[in-house]
Amino acid sequence: MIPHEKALVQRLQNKPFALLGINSDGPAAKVLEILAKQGITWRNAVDVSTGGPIATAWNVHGWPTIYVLDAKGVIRFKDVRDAAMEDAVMTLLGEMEGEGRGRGGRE
Amino acid sequence: MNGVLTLVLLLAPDPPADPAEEWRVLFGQYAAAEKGFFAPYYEAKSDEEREKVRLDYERHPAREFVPKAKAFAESAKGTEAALDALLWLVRAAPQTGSTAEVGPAIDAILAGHAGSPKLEEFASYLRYAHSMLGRGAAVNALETLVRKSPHDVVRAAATLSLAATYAEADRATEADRKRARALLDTILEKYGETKYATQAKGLINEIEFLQIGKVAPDFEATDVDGKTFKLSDYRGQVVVLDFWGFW
Repeated sequence: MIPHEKALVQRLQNKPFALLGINSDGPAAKVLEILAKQGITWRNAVDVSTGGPIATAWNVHGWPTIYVLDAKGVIRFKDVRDAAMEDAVMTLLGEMEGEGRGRGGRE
Repeated sequence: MNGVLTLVLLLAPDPPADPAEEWRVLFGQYAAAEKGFFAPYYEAKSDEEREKVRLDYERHPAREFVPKAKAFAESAKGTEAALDALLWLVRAAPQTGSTAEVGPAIDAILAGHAGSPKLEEFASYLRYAHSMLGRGAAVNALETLVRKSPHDVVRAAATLSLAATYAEADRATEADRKRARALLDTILEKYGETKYATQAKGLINEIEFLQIGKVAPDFEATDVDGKTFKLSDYRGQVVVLDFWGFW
């Protein structure tokens, strides 16, 4: 998971793309330690525990759980990992580019 | 006279004189064997050493303990200790591969102990048992618990597991989601004071809002630098949300 995510984040650094972690390992200091050890640079929410408020609201019972949202905030894919996650992200970025060109053409 | 009485007691092995004590000893032996099995891992002094430890799960003592627990549950039938043995058989199945024991153990639990307050954890566990049992059997067991248990927390746990079994099925239909929603509303209505109400709200949120094609519900979070942000701050970007942790 993590090596693949790192590659994706690096490759898409100039694209309208964000990877957000919702971490359940503990308080901020603990998460910071893990991020440093793993070399993770993307933003992480500190949800403190597996029963944290975001994980509870999102009914997460298995880790990792993945959601992929499009630029409008619509859930488009669930539980896609590694290559499938990358395909999902590329599909949605492709849609955005397509729409951008469409609007440009009408103007 | 005394001699005759002693003889009669000695000749009557069934049921055990003190099933609780017998189970304590039997299970104690198993627990010690299990501790021994994992000892190389716990005795390793560093991460490197731990990585080198290879445990042969084919030799995990739980496998050998399955027939003993089964025999004990039969001989002590109807007692609290028999229930403990049956609950162990259900919980150990994924590890021992003894999934054939799970159905009969669940039947025995429901037939002999449906009123036990000990079944709260069991009811929660059944949420994950449908892959082992089949959905029909899991639903039957949970419906029996909801009908028969006199304890609010057991009924609440069973109702939540039932709702999850419908909503989280591989090919959940709209009808399944509706049925789940009705069960979850029951939890909020009847068992609003239990922790299952919080879990029910999470599941309702998932059924109603966390579906493909729906706008993701917003949340506010704090990052490792102590800065707060909202999911909606990221509108205009493709977002991967990754719930993760090592713990």
